Amino acid sequence: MLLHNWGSLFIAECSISFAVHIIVYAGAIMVLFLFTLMFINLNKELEPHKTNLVKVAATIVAGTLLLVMVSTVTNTGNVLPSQVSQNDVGTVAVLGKKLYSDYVLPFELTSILLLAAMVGAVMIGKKNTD
Amino acid sequence: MNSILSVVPIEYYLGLSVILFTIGVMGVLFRRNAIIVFMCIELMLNAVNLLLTAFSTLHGEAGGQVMVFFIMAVAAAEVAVGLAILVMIYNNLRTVDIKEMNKLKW
Repeated sequence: MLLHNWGSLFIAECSISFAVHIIVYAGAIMVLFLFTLMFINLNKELEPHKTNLVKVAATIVAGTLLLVMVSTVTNTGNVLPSQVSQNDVGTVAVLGKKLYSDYVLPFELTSILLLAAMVGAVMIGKKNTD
Repeated sequence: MNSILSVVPIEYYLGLSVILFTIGVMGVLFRRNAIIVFMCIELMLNAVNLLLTAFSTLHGEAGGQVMVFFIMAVAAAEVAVGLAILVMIYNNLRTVDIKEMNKLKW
């Protein structure tokens, strides 16, 4: 979980992205996780563990994936662009203009998605009365 | 260019997000606690977010960061629905062990 936060803090180069990340993750997702942890009784004795065979297989798979990604990254040529068109992409003004001009339809669809998720969570979460 | 990328080169961002993504995959494969699996999925999404933001700054293109917003919205929706499902499963089965959730298998 610490790494989670480091990852978010590293986005500090883009002010708006950073702020939204902090708000969404610290304000919404962490709280959701904490609530669920309170609902669910977890203790050390009941902690399920996988068998050693599965653990070895998981390590091999994850290691292979890491290897593939690292080799892809190292084998890629120069990724630096010849010239940067715009230097202030992380600011509220630039992102807001982009969001409300080119990406208006996905933006509105996102609001519908969030509404659907909210209704769905309430429907799933409520007690079955029948 | 006078952004943070002249201080911290893009390779470090690449390395960090590759490591974060692998930790996420590792956690999904390793653990049987459904909450930990959820957290690891979030970790993978965040690794991709980090990389999108870094490259969007590198190329001076705002589209990448718009994509980060959409990924965050999808992640929030996924967590809300997923944790609701998890609480219901716990109410019914009294466990969050993913090995017990095999009713749809076969």
